[in-house]
Amino acid sequence: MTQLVPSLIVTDRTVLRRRRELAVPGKALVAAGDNVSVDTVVVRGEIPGEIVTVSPSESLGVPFDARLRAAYLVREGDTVTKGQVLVRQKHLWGLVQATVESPIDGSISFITHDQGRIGVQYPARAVERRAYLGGKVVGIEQGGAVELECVASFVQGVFGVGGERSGTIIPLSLAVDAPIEPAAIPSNCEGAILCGGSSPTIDALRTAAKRGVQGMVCGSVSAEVLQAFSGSDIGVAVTGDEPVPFSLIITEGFGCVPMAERTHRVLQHRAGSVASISGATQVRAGAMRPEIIIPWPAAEQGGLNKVDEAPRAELRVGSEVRLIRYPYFGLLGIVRELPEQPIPLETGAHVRAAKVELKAIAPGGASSLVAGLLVVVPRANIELV
Amino acid sequence: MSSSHQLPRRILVTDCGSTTTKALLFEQRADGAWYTRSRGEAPTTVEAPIADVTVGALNAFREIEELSGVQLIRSGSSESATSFADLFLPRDKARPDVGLDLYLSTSSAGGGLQMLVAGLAREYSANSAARAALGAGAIVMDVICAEDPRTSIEWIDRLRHLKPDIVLLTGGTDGGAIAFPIEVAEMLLQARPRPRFGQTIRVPVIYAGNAAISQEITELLSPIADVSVTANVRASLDEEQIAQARDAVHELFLSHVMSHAPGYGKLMGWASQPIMPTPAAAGDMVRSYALAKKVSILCADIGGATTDVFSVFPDAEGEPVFNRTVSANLGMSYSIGNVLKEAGIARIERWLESSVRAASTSQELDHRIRNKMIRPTSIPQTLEDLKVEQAVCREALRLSLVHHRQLAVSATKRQRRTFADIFGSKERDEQQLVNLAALDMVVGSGGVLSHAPDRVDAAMMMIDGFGLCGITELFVDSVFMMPHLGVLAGVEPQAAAALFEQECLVAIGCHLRPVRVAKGVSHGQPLAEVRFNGTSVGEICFGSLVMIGEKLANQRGDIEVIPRGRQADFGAGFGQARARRRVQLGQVGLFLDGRALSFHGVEAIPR
Repeated sequence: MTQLVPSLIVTDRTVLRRRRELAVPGKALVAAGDNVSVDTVVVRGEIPGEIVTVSPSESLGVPFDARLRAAYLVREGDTVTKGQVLVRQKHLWGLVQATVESPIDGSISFITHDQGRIGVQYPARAVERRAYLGGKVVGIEQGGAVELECVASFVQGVFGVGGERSGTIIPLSLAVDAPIEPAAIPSNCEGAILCGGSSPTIDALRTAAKRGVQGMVCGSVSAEVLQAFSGSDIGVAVTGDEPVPFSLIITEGFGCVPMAERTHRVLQHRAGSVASISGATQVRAGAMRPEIIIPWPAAEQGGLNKVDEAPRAELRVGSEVRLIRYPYFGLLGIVRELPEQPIPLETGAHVRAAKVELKAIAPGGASSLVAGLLVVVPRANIELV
Repeated sequence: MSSSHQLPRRILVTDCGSTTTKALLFEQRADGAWYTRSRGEAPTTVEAPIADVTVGALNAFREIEELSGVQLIRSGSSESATSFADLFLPRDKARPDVGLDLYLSTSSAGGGLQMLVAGLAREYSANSAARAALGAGAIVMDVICAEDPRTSIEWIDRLRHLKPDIVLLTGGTDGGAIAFPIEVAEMLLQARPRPRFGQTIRVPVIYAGNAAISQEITELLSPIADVSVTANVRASLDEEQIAQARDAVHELFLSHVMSHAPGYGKLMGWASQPIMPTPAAAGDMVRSYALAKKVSILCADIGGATTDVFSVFPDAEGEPVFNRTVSANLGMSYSIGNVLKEAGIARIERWLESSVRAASTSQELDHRIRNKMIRPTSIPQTLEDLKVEQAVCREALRLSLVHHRQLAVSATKRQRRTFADIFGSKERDEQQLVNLAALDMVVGSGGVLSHAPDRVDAAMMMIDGFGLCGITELFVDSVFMMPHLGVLAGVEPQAAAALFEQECLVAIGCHLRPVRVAKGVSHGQPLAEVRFNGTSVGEICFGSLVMIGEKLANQRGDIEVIPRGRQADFGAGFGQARARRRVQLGQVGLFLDGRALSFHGVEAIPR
């Protein structure tokens, strides 16, 4: 009997598709079959301008009636300039005039029938959507949505901050369990996506920002450092819009946890490649995890026969797993047994569990834990690596 | 006359949740008492690829049939059945285990009823609009008010992203401000929000603001929305009327939202009564039970992402007032990071025993909680880790009660708002509607409370989290059937109340603590004698908490608290005795709690 468990995808080669669209209707600027790079603008649209409301009745201190309505000089759809007279009402046989002017340059969006309010709208603003990943256009939808595809190395993190960016993969010269200090940040790393290490200090992040990196992928981060980096304490795992100098992704969790060897190997293997990174995370309601996408060169895009299998989300004896809950948080191991019957925990709960042989111990791990030790863990606290 | 009229009644009720559809079959025994004959459940099928909620409901019905041996459904009918009579077999005196009298349902599938509300001032119309929505069982996705710093462009983008089921637009007293509701209407016009279900349908907008511009608002929005106009929720600053807006929300929920959600048109045809939003039904159960038993009640359902709080308290005129709030940012998994953020690690740590605090630094505990946020389906494996979650639960309950008190007002009486009210000056508990000194019973629901391995832990989370005082009976909801009972209460209120008491609620104990203690009282000083059914059972001493169980467990009787001297007030005044009749002592017995309400710590509790 198989059991599906959570897993974060880490693979050297897979087919990825991404849909690119705007919040407003737009127009696709590419065609099916086109090759695009990360910076190619694929969709363009317009956001309507804000509306400023003018109330001639209130401004002139008169009721809105047929006489006032007849004094309107503009209609819906007219373009107006700032200061242009919208309403001119004449009194005393034309000797006295009262006017209402447009407060802005724009166009007349509406004139209400009931009170005669005039909505003057700012000009529309152009908005664009870039490709974000280098690949091929495989679909265009009405309304301007574009579907892109590529064969890429793909790494999902567990949590991140910062939006979409791109850069060149540069592995840090660090062991997976080494903390990331300022000295580890290469002097020449502008435009890079730095990868490796366990947990950065705030000074390391500031150094990286000063040197112009676009992203960093590491094992973990402390809450304090993250708050100093992002400027606020994050209470719910819904991110992507933070005003951060570069996108930061952690692959293991909060604390001081080494990056998994497998993740490190995949990123090391692609050193020098152009990658896309997004720290956007949404744990609930349509889960979204942060990601690094490293497309293979055009010559290696290939067909399905070149695609490795992504790790299947099935827990089996022999599966390599990550333990995701205290007291074994961050430890890696191999599943040795999957008992059928639920076991009692010291909390009183009866759960289905797995017996896991520990592979490595995190820095600061309890002295009673040794590599090779067999521990019993609820299946809910296991993640496939 | 139907041949079923002499047969014990049989009613099937479902709750179509976001992930699971739970069915309960209620039946009358020969003596007229009601019980739950069977339970069934199946995955909810409102999302793609099935996209028909009736498929999941039928699966749940079939499980009921298999487990109970009762035949409910006409064979071969389910595909085409559009009414109760088409789907269900009628009762038959000759075959008692065949047929059904009524089918009822609640729903929170697809995330439940999701609303956007707008009001001019956060403390007035926006507040009233939010409560009208909450009272109808909605989740308030966002609130627009004039004080919001976001620009119109940001709001338009957000409106497109949110996809609310209903928009409630308020603002301006009658004859007062007009600009704000018009500006919001203009933003809606630009955003053209689409509903979640039924892509060709226009989003319904309820306008409950300044009556002077209701026609203008209707006109403005007519190209993109179906507008209903109801009474202004704040016709004047002093007066609030949310009942009409709340009823309009409920009506639109049925006619507009539910009828367009996948399969709900058919489900509504099967149901004998209108389908209710799950939180509204749970709230109705709390309200009807409180009214039937003439008790004040506080009920909290603490989930992974949100905490629902329901309460019924008497107002200044003694009329029971129901309030519901949803703290959408307080929960035990997805929102646990927010509890940490709002409470701070120090407030969470104070609830941990010294041995737990010694084993981990504050930073390690902080990280442990945040790692639960990003891996919300993980479970505590060790007792120590469970204690950390229970400490977080205390803070989530505390914060959700603060939120509840801020919003809970008497909806039918004039509410004079002074500067002190607006700027949040502290007022004595008994001046607030939610007055814990007058609370009769508290009910906890949600996994961390209902499934706590030791009932004492559940009791302590509620006692500490809410800061209970006075004389309060403690219960947990063992199986979360409140939504089912809430919709059942609409047709069989006595049955619902009886089932609530007998099958849903598990009595834990009775908690006694002074509401106020005079200054200068020393630690260990006796504050009051406690008598049960006339016999002295113990003392409440300042600074200590003692549980008295064993002989008292599961008994029901009269409690008397007789203060020693004038050092303590148990709700009747300093030095005044207080009594309550027919108190349920539950599995644990009595909690004699002399700890100050500002208590900051916990150690092993002597029994």
